[in-house]
Amino acid sequence: MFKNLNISIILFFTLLPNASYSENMLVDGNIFYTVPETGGTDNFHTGKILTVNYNYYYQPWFALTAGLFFSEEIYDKTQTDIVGTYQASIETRGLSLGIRPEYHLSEQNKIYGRLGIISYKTKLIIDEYFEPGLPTGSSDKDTSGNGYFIGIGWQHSFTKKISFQLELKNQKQLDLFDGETSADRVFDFSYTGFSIGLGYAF
Amino acid sequence: MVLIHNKNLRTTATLAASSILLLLGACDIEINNNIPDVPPDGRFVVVGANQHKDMTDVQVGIAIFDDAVPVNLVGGDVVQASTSNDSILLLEKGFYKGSYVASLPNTTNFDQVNFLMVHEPLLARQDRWYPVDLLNIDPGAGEFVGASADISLPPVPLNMSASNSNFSSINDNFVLTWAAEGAGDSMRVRSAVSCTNGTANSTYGTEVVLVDDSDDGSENIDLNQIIYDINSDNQIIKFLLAEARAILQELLIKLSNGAADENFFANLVLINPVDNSCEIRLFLFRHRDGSFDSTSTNGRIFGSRSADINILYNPN
Repeated sequence: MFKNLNISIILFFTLLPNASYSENMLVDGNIFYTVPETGGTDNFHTGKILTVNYNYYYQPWFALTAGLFFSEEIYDKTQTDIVGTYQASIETRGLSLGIRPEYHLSEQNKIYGRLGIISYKTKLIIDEYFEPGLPTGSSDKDTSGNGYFIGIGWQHSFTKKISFQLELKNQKQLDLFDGETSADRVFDFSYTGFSIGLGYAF
Repeated sequence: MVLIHNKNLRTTATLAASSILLLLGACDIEINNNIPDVPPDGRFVVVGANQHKDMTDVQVGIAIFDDAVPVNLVGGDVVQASTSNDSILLLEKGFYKGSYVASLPNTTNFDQVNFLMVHEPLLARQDRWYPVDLLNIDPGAGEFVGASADISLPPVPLNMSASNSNFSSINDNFVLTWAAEGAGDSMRVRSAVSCTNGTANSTYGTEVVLVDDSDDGSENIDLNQIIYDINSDNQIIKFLLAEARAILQELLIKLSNGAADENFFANLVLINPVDNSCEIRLFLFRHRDGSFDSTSTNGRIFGSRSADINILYNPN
């Protein structure tokens, strides 16, 4: 469905009107604190994802947004079963493209929403330990795909150019390892959390 | 048969039980989760299978010890229990340390159950959330793989009944009868007791010591092997232990469709049974010894089929 996301992002920048308009563009950088979930028996710790977005305002209340995201290695809690003790972790990165409607509360404050699609590449890493005397092991596998994100935030402007933003967000990565494993093993990753960041308007 | 998964909960329950027992000065009740009577030296294996009347699956369990230390099966080594039609991996840890349990489907009531240690690194990980086929760390088969044992389930005890079903004194007794098979099997009588004073409950299990455990169709049973007085110094009660406890606990959960308390047999005695109304679920097991593939294997192996009736105790 979103296979041409990368092309779309290139088109997004290509089709932008003259970029020299004053302060109709915003670059924001955020740290997204999130707990990934698959809906299974995973139990991830909170992790951080760095996001950087470029927003182009077609109207004072409406912008197109394109961005990048990179995570640190986010760890699942250690689990033990009949086979051994294992710990999963993930690293993810990708691109996003969407819209950002806004509502101005005052000259300095506004609320905004974000909605769009993502293209992700996620690495799943498993470390496993057995009884003493048996070799431990580690295995990892990359997968890529698409998904979507939705968020609502508050932006406070310190100056005309510098602003702070706080956002509640959910990013969904769909169908990890689809086509590589059996259908009942394919899963989605849901990243829910909040982000804090700074914006620079120009 | 995982009775207390949570380690903290288990510790709390154990401490609570210990405290209560100290306060009440009750008799010596075994509450830990070590299988008793495991010899201190050498390898020892406990294998059991039981099918209750009208149930379509067999409760199977196994535990392995080396020098009395439970052996954890790791790396994908797992016990497979099979009848001619069905098989299942024992993936669930049982109440007792080092024990593994499962429910083996047996809708056609096969009598033979085979246990085989296999190496199934993917199937053993089947409950994990990630694609184990893509991220498989396999240390290889362990030393137990290939070992096997066989159990023959005896017939289910039919026409089980008691000469009386309402009792008012622990000095009462009754005659338990059933249809004898005469195949040389032995019988076991066990109880699951639930007493209440309206606000608090005590639950526990007992093993009735039989004068004659042969399959002869009747047995005289004294109620003081089932209901007891925690203040008495002359108790003859024998609390349910080891694989008998594990099987009966699992059976209670099955018979109640999961509603039975997982700690039913934890012997948390909150009220004195002799002074309160008690519901007694009496179980009769027909018991038959099995065999290990290797004659050098030391341990206990048995198959059984069971039935139950309910009796009541209401003190005067």
